Amino acid sequence: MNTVELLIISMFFPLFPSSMVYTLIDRHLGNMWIRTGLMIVWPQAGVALVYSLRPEIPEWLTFWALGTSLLYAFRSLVLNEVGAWAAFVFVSLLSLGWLLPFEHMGAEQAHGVALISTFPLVMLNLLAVFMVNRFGSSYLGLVGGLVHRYPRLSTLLSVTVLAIIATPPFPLFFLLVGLLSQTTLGTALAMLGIWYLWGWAGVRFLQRLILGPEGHALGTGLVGQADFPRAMTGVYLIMMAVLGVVGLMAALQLTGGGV
Amino acid sequence: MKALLLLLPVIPVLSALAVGMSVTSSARGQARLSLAASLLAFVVSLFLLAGRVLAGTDEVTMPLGSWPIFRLDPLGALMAWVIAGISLIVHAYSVRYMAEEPGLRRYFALLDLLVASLFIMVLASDLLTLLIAWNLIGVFLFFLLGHNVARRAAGRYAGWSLLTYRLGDVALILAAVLLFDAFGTFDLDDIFARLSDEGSTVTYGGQNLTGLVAVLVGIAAFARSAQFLLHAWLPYTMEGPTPVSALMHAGIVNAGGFLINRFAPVFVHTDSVLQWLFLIGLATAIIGSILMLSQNDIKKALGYSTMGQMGFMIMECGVGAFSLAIYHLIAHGIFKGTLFLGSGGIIKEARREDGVPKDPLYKFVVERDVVARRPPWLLMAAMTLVVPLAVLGAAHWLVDQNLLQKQGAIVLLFFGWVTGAQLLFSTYKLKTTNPARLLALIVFSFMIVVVGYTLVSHVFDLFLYPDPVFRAELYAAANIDLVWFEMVLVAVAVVIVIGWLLAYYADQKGGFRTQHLKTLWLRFYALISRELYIPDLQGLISHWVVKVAQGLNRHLRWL
Repeated sequence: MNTVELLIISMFFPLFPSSMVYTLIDRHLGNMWIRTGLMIVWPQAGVALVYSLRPEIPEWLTFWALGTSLLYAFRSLVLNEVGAWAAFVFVSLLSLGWLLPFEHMGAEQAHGVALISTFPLVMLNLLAVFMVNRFGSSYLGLVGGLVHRYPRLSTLLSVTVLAIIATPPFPLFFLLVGLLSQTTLGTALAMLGIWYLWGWAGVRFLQRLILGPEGHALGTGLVGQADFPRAMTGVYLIMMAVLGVVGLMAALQLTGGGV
Repeated sequence: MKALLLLLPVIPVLSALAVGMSVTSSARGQARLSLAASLLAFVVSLFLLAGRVLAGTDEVTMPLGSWPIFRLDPLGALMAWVIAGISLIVHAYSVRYMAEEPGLRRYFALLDLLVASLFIMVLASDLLTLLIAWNLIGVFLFFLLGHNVARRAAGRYAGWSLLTYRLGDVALILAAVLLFDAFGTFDLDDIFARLSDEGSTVTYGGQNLTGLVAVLVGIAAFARSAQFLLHAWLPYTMEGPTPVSALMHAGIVNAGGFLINRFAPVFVHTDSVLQWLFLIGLATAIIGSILMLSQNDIKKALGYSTMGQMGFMIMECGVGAFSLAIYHLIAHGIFKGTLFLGSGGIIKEARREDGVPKDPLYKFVVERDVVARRPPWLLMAAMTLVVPLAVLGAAHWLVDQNLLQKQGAIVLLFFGWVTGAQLLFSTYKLKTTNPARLLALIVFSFMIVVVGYTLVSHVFDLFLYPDPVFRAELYAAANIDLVWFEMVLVAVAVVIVIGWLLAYYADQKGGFRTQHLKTLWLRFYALISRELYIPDLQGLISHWVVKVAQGLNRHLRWL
């Protein structure tokens, strides 16, 4: 019985190869808005399943989860499309869900952690929607060197990617530190390896998308010149700032209490 | 004082926000706003340092509930003042230097955020705050180094730096997690107190916690301070704006020395970690200096020069001279910052006057100068050996009569002696119409440098580590078995003398005469001119990793 439960949950907290369920659905959903919605719902469904089925999680499963996370983080190094990159990092992140101490957390807290962790990826998908509408695609080779003509979009992309790759003060960094302090040395090393790969993937992503000479699509002058709307940029940055404050609150929690 | 402590990192953050949100419309106005903020930060840091000096041992902390966040100790106060000073110079230089560059607003906002992170790092009272700042410095530096967005190389090498920094971050995070797991706190003071009492009894995987943490902190410092095998990013990050290079070489690369000093209460309880630090620092100092000499690109040469200096800084920590490392990193920061910021002026000057000395025959016949002479060889040889020893010995005896009982101090004295001897003997080649005057000036300059260096480092020692017992323990932690120590010292002396003889022989004979030696020399030159193939190897490894990831994606497709 436990195996069936674990199998069901592994669709939502992916374990390779069940991770294909999410990646295939994501790939075949052409509409970026639906893909973005799926990104919000998927981890919440996983948490809900964990608390309703309450399976026993064997120790070997955490190694499998770590392997899955490592695999997708590694593969995200070379992805060339913003939506696809977000999907692979999303799978890598969700795999680590198996390491969460569900037995010591309330369901509400777990839902909150899932929401906060995946929030930057959702935001990146929104930026991908803008890029597809503006440039016709979000392929890195075609739209590279964005900072020349699109400084506001570049700023938003940079901040979002930093939040995704668990840079402080965003919450994922402190969640990672909190998780590391509750695991064995071997598991901690593997998690830090994953964190390093996220960083590498993020650096390559920014290098190709924002820095360097302009991409082919931009160079032709066939695409629109208007940057991300100023008012929307303000709203977006306020949301990311709130996320940063949530991260600092998580840090405060780690130090053992409140203000 | 507490308000000032909080204000110091807040000023550059507010400045970054104001510049980023375009409070003033003109680019020049934004630059001036940022400059004014850095001036204010410098004044605040000056007050903090003065307050710290006058307050004596009273600790000033700035907690946020259970989170200690900031504290003002001698090390933090001194480093904050240095960073504020360098930041002010870099800001003032940038106002005109960057005036016509695109992305000026981005540049100043990032510069301010980088400086704020540096302030947070040196004032951090706990591991979490330190981790936040340590990470952010790498991130902001990445964007600043890649500021020249039109050049692909700028982005590429900025990425190298961030990935190397992140390796160090991994080590520091692991150290923080181990300490939190063992003691249940991130507060540095609590951790150091508990380590002192219980550190030797806590083990991880059979390893002593104190030793493990010291090694991890050492690795984090190595990555930040470009120690051998983690150095390749440094000489290649010259694509960034010159003021950023100045700030990086003057105030960021040397953070490794700061980190080791911050964790001095950990290193003092270790058995052999400081000795490893010394060896890595020594290797870095030698390799960095050799690579510097072989570069024909002046910016790369400056990069390798910094690598060599950082090696020397880590070496100083390795012999237990922690405060000397701080003095060194400040002195290096000032002279390297000056070199970078003055490079434009030097190039302009060189275009006007090449500086090549005139032919002696021309000077004698046309300018009717008196024939220049060299000082007597024997006198120079005697002075070479005796003067540095006498000056160094007297200067050090002045500050500490028990100096020769510390192995670290003997190593530093020995190093100073060899360096002084080489410096003095190199002047033998200088021809002058008045050799006696030249000699007197050289010896006087040498005395000023040595006495100044000794006295200032002694003041640093008293300020940063006022407890004499702790200072002695730091030196003791760096000691090795006395017999081994003496053997190593003799071996190093023999190697140096052989090196001198070989250099003299090669100089007299105009190079190596036998074919075998010539071939060997050429191979060595090829090796160092390709920077020991380390950047190539690093590029190759990253290329393979990318290829494997591409292959995996091809085979697994969307799985």
